[in-house]
Formats: sequence, C-alpha cells, structure tokens
Amino acid sequence: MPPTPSSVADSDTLLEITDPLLAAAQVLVRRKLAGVIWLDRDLTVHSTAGRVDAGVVPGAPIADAMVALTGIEAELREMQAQSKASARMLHLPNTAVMGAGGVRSRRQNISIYWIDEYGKYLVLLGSMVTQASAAAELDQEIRRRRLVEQDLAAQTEEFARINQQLEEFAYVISHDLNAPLRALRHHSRDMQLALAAHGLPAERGLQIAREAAHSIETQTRRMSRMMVDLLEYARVGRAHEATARVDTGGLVREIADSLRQATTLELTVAGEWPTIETATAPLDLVLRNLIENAIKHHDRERGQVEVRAAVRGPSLVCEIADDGRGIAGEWQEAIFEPFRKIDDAHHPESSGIGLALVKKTLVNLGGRIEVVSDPQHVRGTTFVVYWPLKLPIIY
Amino acid sequence: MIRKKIVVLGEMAVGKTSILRCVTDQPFEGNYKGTLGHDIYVHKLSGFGADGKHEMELVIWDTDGGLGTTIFQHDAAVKGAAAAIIVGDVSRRRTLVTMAALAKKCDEFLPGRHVHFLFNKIDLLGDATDVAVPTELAAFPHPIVKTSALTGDNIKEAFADAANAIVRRGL
Repeated sequence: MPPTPSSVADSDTLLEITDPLLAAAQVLVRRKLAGVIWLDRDLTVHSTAGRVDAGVVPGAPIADAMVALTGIEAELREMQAQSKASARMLHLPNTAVMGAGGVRSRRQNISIYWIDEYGKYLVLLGSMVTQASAAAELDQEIRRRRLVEQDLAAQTEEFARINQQLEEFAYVISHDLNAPLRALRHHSRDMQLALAAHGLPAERGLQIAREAAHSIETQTRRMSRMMVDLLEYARVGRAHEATARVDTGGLVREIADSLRQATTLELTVAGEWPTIETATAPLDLVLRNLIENAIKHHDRERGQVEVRAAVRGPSLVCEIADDGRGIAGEWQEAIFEPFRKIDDAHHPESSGIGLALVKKTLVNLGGRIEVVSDPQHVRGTTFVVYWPLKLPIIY
Repeated sequence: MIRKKIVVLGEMAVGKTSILRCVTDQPFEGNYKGTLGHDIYVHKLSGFGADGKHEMELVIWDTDGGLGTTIFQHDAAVKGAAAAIIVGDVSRRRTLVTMAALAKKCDEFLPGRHVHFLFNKIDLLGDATDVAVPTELAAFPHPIVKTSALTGDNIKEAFADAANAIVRRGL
C-alpha cells in the first residue's frame, strides 16, 4: 500500500524511505524547499522535483546546468568515498546568480548530500529571501503601516469631532430643554399662588391661573415638539433611505405649491431641475425646510422667495434666496446648531432644529450648504445647497 | 569552453562588488550596499589557449566581507576555486593587513591555486605610488595590482591575468 502524504511527512529520517522520489517529497514537505535534484554518480541529473533552474534536466551534467556548482565536481566525487556523514555533505548557503544588467536571481541555499544507500546525490534547493525583496517587503510594510496610521489619525480626528459635537449637542439639549421646564415650574408656582389668593380678588386669581395654565400647555407642546424634532435629528444618517428616479422640478414645485397657500410672499421656482436617481425623502426635507424657513423668517408681508437650481459638476446646486432682513455674520454658522434661533420671540413655536436637520442630512449624503448674506449692505439671504448627483453607497 | 571558478575575498566595503560590476560592464554605484550571502557573476573571456582562440567562462563569487576568514570553514563558497582575488582598500590600511590573513587561509584551503592581490580605490589617493605594502602581505609571492572600480583602472587586466594564470598552470 503506498504511503499517504502524512506518513511521508511524519517519517523521521530521510533514509527510512527507500524510494528516492518519496524521500524528495518528504524533504520538500518538511523543509519547505523550492526544489530537489537527484544526481547520478557521474554528477549528471537523474530526476528533479519542485522548482529548479531551466538547464537542470535529466542527463545534463550538473556543473554545466548550475554555475554555482562550477569547480566543486572534484569535491563532490570525493564525498562518495567518505565514511563520515559530515563529509558526505556540502553547503552553499545564500547564493544568487547575477544575470545580464545586474539582475539578481532568487537567492537559495544549496545543500548537496551523497546518499550511499541509493548511490546518488541529493541536491536540496531552499528558498532565500533576497536582500532586495526583504527591503521591498520592509518598505511595503512601512508604507502599509503609514497608511494604517493615517487612517487611525483620521479616525481619531473624526472621533474627536464627533465627541465635540456630542458635547455641544448635550449642552444645547440640556440648556434648551431646560428652558421650557423652567417656564413650567414658574407658571405652576404662579398658579399655586393665584389659587391660594391671599388678599387677591377671586377674579384676578382665576385670570392668573388661566394664563398660567395656558402657558403650561404652550410650553408642554413646545417641549413635545422639541423631543420629536430631536428624535428626527438623531435619526438622520442612521436610517437607510430608499432611492428612486426623482423629477426634482416636480418635487420642488409640489413643495412650493403646498407652502404658497400660507404666505403672501411671492414664491417662484426657476432654473434647471433634472430628473435624477436620488434619496427622495431627504431631498424633500432639505428643500422644504429651507423654503419654509425663508417664508417664516421673512420680516415683510410683501417679498420674494426664489428657488433655483443648476447642475454644476458632481452636484445639483439649489439656491433658496429671499429678500428678507438677512442673517448677520455671527449667526451664519450658529443657525445650523440644534435649537439655535435668531428670533425666539417671534417664533416661540419653532424648535430651532430645522437647519441643523438640513445640514446633517446633507453632510450624511456627501453634500453641503452655504449661507450668503450681508445684511449690513443688502437685504436678503441665499442658502446654497450642493446636492450630490451620485449618492454615497451607504446612507 | 572551459569554465572556472574564481572567488573574490576581502573585508567589508573594500569594493569587491564594485570591481565585479566593473568586470561585467555594469555602471559604478556610489551607494554602498553590503553583499549578503554570495553573488555569482559570470564573465566570458576570449583569446585563450596556445592558439589564442579558446574561450573561458569565469564563474566569479562575490562574497560577504563580514564573514572574514570564517568563510573558509562555514560553507563551500571557496571550494573548487581555481583562483582567489583578494581585495583591500588602500585608504584603509587595516584592510590590507586582513588581505594577508585571507591569503594565508587560501594557502591552507586552496593550496596551489592562483592568488591575485588587488589594492583598490587608488582613485582616492593623490599618488598611487604612495601605497606602502604591509610586511605581512609582502611575504606572499602573489602579484599586487592597484585598481579603481570607479575609473576601471587595471580591473579587467587583473582578471585576465588571473584567467591566464589558471590556463597556464592548468588549475
């Protein structure tokens, strides 16, 4: 029964195996050799296994086929007569042949044994890592590590940015959610005092209580709205939005039509609105919020809001321009933070999360938003949205 | 065509590889890169034999200078060499003294083989005649050739002389 590969690999010594080819296989397996050559007594090639030089073919004189063995034929022949095992082996470690133009062959360890039992020489060719390839590997490893380090640095920076955003967000939330809570406490105390009515006319007490109850209801509604908006804000970027072929012109006109009924401002849609494959709901959210804001924060009964678009490079650039009072420079970044409002007194019902929601939606899709406004010199604000024509794979 | 082995020995950075690059018509490289292990160069020479029509192929072993004289014991790199070229750096006297130690080993492990001494980097000296031969080295009968791997001075001639000596002496 022929030996299985494992029995070949498990054999302890080469000489236990009587078949030279099996012995060669054993050595190849155990020493991870590149190749094995069997030589006859006269130093001609008998057989080979694995990777050997091109000229090493059965019948060829080995010294002709392998320049590394030039000159040592006499040494090899002497090995046949040696009785000591150490004298029947010869090693040429770490050798390479320089070819034309200084190109170095792969390095290899060459070990030659005289195997008296077979009357043959066994030449073992072991792979060596060349200096050049080691340097190349090292260089590659260094570059790989640099890339990993760069990635890590970028990730660390991203984490730091996210942490800072979280801190700011936590501050904003604790501060802004506290405001209606404080108001609730204040109004409930008013109500308690009014109901106690020490020395206060009963009618006046009831009036104070009614006003307090109304304010409590308003603040509760405000808080509820803030919580809903907050949840929506937190949801951006976590949900997978379906994409579809969207006629952006149709979408923006639909939004404009729905908002036009509730305003005296002139709302117009202009420019190039293409049909694109995109995430419908986020685009609706961005446009609707910006148009709604332009209407809501306009300071005059008569005015204009124009929504226009054009394809520029990789983006659909949408501009929402109004001729309202404008946004001062110091507010142009702050307005994108959750719950930050320029005129809380005029719009107490607004949670102030709309623009934060718009920006976060855009950033998550690979887009961006800019504000153009210079109220000291000219009226009006233009929000410029860069909506990516090609969305990132994950959204 | 006859093929003969020549081994090139010498301390680290004496210019062994540069000499072999010069022999095999490769450009000189200014940046030093130590040889790890053994590199084998093949160089063909023509015009040999009594009629001057024979060719010879030299299989030249460039060795790791860091091995010093241990190269004779640890592996078969020097075995079977018909000649040894021992190189020193004229700007570093110590390397010339080491040449003597290597020559002594050649006498022991390669008895009767041809040995050539190369005093390399003569381009670094203002006057090449200034080189004082260490007494240890002067004791050997081997020819001394002043060479420059940078300019190519006397390099090919030295190898041709070694090849002629191999043929002449039937090594």
